[in-house]
Amino acid sequence: MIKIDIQKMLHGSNGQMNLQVDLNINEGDFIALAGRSGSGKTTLLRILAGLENAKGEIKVGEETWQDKLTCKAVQKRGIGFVFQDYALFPNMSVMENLLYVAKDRDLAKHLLRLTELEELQNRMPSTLSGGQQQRVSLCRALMKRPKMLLMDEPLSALDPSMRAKLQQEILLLHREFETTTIMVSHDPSEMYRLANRVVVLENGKITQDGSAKDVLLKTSGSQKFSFEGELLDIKKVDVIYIAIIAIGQQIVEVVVSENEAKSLHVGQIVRVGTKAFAPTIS
Amino acid sequence: MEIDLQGIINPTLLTFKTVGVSLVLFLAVGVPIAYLLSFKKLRFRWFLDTFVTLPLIFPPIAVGFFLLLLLGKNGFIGSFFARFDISFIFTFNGLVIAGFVAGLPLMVKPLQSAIELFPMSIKEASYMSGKGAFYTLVFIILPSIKKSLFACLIIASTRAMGEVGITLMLGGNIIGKTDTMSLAIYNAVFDGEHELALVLSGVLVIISLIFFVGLHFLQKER
Repeated sequence: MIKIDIQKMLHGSNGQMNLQVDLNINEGDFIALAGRSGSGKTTLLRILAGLENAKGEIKVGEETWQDKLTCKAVQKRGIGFVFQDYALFPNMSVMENLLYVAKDRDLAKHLLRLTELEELQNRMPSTLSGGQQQRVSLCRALMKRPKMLLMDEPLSALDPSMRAKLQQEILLLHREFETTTIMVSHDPSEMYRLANRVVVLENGKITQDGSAKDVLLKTSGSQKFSFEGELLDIKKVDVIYIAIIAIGQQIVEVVVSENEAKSLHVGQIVRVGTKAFAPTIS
Repeated sequence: MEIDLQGIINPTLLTFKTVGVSLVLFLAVGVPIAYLLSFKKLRFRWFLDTFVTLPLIFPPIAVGFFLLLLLGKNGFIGSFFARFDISFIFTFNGLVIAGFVAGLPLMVKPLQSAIELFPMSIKEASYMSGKGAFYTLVFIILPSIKKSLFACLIIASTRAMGEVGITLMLGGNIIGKTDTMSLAIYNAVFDGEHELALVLSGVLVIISLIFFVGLHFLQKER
């Protein structure tokens, strides 16, 4: 069991904010940490890693990482960390990057084989693509066989097909190394595929916590599906009103009543749902 | 007029020796100072920063005079070293101190900014790999910015090589003992030996050109 109970005053772009997180995590869990930017997700990861200080306690199994009296040094916590910008050591080859963490050539080879990087082991990081670099970074994070794997938006700089491939590899490594994994993510499909628990932070507080399906599915009541989007415009055509809404990369039109049209205002975030019985997928 | 060969070789060797020892000091002292200054929250940072930068803006003769006061037999620092029979005034040690003090800001300031610009996340990745700050500096940061490091060394060394003001005050311009190349040129002109001055200047030009070419290649490769 991992117990986190920390607080810290943050001075973000939205003024002062109190990050206050009380979270118990089962060992072996895969947690997705979601929420708007500036909600304290990255800071929480950095506090867990020991890169930033905070008040409170962190206990991992029998070990105390932080309490009122002590704070374990970042070097001594058994963590692997994957940065959004890869952060590979630029003066070392792929293999050397891995061996820098632990002189275990067999483990390094095993990790490179799992992530299909064997051929690239002597290349320098600057000659690799983004996806390859992030895989090296993932391998490097696992070289210490960490109890906890922390990932700060590891895939957000990659294109969709590379993301899907890396998601599979992350899941594979999470299972093989039996780490407790916490991953900051903005992508619902990613969270759904990888995480068995999704925690949503808003203004430094946990507002939602549950299974990926419970947190991510936006339908309510008898709705069969529902989407969130931004109301772009409301047009009057003869006697009816048409709301134009941007959902993802698409624009949709929805007929609304006069009363609804008056209560809505342009720029608002709305949810479009329907009870249609049998939607088709083509 | 015949040129005395010793008059060329002695100052040249002396200058090489001075620059060589200064070079070691730039690495051993300059690099740690640059690293310390890269920490924005360091206590007494302003003091260290002022101490390092001052020779860049202060007239060398005045710096030399203050050093003379400090390092002289009765000076604050000099009296301490005198107990161990180490003296700085009118000796080779004085020449090294002069070159080192003059070149230090040119070594430290650019290196400091190169270290500051090095991505934080890479440093943190090293810490999370279980490595300390010093280990990270030696095995990750310095090898990654080695071109900047070499460029700083070259610039600082050329400054140390051409140093006159502080050298004059601390070294005393004793012919055959503390007359570095720049001072030897001055002495030669003073004595009316224009050919000797010309040859010594020529040697300095060649050495400077070698440094310049080295610098050019470092910048080109970047």
